[in-house]
Amino acid sequence: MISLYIKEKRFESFELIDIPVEIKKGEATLLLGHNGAGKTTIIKSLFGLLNINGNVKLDDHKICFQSQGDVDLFKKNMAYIPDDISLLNYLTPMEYFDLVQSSFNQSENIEFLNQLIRIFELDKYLHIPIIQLSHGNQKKIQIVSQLCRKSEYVVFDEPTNGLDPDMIIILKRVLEKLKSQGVGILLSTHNLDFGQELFNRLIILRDGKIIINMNREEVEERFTGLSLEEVYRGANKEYYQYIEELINDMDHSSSTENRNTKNYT
Amino acid sequence: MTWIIQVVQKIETPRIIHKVKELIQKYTTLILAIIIGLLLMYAVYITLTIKTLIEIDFNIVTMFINVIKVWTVVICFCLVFTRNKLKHGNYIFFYMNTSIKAYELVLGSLVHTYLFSILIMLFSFFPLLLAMVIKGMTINLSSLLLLLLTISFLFIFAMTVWMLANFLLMKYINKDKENLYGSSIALITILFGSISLGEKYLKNFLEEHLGFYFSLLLFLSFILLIIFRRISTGYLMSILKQKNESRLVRNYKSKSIFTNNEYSLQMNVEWINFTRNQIFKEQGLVFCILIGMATGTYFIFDANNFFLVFSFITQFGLKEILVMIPLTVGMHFKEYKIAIYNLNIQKNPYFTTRVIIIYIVNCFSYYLFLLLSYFLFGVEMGNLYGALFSIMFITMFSILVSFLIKIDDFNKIFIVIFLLACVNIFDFIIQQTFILEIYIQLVYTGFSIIIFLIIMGFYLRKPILI
Repeated sequence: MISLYIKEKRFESFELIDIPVEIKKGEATLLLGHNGAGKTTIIKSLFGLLNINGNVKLDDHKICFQSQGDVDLFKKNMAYIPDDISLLNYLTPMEYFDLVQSSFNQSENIEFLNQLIRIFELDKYLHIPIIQLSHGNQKKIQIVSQLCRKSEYVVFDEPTNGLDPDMIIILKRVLEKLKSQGVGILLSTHNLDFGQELFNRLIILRDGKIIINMNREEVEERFTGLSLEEVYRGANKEYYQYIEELINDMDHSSSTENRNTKNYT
Repeated sequence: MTWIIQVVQKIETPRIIHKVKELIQKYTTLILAIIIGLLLMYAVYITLTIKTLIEIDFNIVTMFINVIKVWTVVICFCLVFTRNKLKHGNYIFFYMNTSIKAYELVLGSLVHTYLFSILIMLFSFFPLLLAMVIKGMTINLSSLLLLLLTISFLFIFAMTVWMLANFLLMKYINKDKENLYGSSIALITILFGSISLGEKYLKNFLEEHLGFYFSLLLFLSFILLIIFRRISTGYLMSILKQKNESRLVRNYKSKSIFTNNEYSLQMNVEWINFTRNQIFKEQGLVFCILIGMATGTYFIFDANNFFLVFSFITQFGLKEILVMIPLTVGMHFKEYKIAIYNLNIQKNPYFTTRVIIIYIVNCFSYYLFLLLSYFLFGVEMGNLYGALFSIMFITMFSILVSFLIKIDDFNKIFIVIFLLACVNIFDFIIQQTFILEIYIQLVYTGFSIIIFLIIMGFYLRKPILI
């Protein structure tokens, strides 16, 4: 199990206080929240990319990100697919996959890599420098390059951004399959449909605070028969009431009339 | 005119202010130290140059023509290096969403490049002005104005040639793809060709028909602005098309880079980067241009003038290559650090292999240039062994700057010129301070090792994190 605990992380405009996140093998933890709620901060903290007052544990071992041994151990077990495309884009996908396999000494994973290449339909782009490919294809390369490592945990930050409907469906199926084979997943997404069937634990954030942290059974018990969108709205009830009032006050027609009158007179 | 000011106020200036603020906030003490160091070095440069200039006689007209020649070199570099400016989203957005005309946008985008080039000239020729004052020569304000008018005309002329060359090459030869080599060669040939052909007349006008020269310049400027206005739309549209269509799918033969040795793996990756990176292609072009320029001057000038120009080419042209290539190390790290993190690349194989490759490439460029000069023009090779240490220092210093500052198309030219000034002044001071070659080599090696350790310790923490 991977666990992250953020006692405190302050930025100029917001803060994260008392955040526990766990990823268990064979389960998917889903992070939901508005822009700026702290989802990416949590993921970056998990990988030691931000200084936090807190800790990261792999099983019971506390990870020290200044120790090469700990980092090696951590990275061997974790795959990270960030929201931004971050690939050495002057390489071709084939060269990039080679580099990934070399970096992690994983020549035995070739067959698994080939399967992923076929599933994500990357065959015809293998010899074109990544920089010349579309955003969607670059995203697919990023996903395949991390999944092919066969790590025990996978962390996705907005995995569906830039993917076409086919690929979103395929990715969902791949994640279901990986989960069933014991891979632990942490998923941060704005695509509620995508997370609906996948999650085993749901964490909803608002302004840096956890407002819901429940497992699937607890969610189903509290929000019986509701979809994830309805659960999300229910968890952010006050906010949606306020927005509803604002929407009701909107008056598009009168302003158009005024403008038209002004134009014609 | 209003739109040109708008471009400067809304796109160019805020960007520079933002960058400067960011740098000052991040590295306040370091920048102060660099400024003080530069001021000291510049003071030494002024003192030594004035000392030399006072001892020799010089003619105002010859100086005027020399200033124009140096200006031409400076603007050629500035225009080629800032050529991608207009592809930036801010310019495209401004052009598409306002009623600005193409020529206004192009002119607006050139204002800072022009001012920066003027600044370089001011710094470079300030000792000359001081030497003239000390010698009791009168500096005529109208001569300075005439010089300003001439260099402004040359700047617009250079841009017009660049636009025309780009537009024609993209339309008829390269089909919406940039032809960097073709455009640059056209620019340099036409600019230096015009100056070589017009030098005799210019000398004559400046000595005897100043009024006529002034009127002629005004008339030519007027014609030039009309041409500039007419071709800028075609040029701008070809730039926009190039941005969208130049990434035509091209199949490569993927290289197998799988290896269990981290050092050879990084070596392979950096080599691929080297063969596909635009900056390396640009520097290849600069190398060819330098050889071309040296060959041209060898046939045009007498022996004394040739050696003067040749020394200028090696001091600024060749050193430009030596400082530009190492900048790619820090640029690479900043651009790909998340990928580097994800790939679990260790700092030793990552950094050491890149330093070695870049150092070898720099040495290769330097010695190839010397070898060609020896065979083509009979120039003596000088201290071949000592150059290894100087190149080592230049390489490491450039790499350090690339880690310190985020380099992009906007500030690349400023950084290269800053580096050239630093490296040349540092070289000069070292050569003046130490007589024994061994001390000079020790100083270069010492500084290089210190810089290497600074980068390893501060910029590439263990392990590579963000």
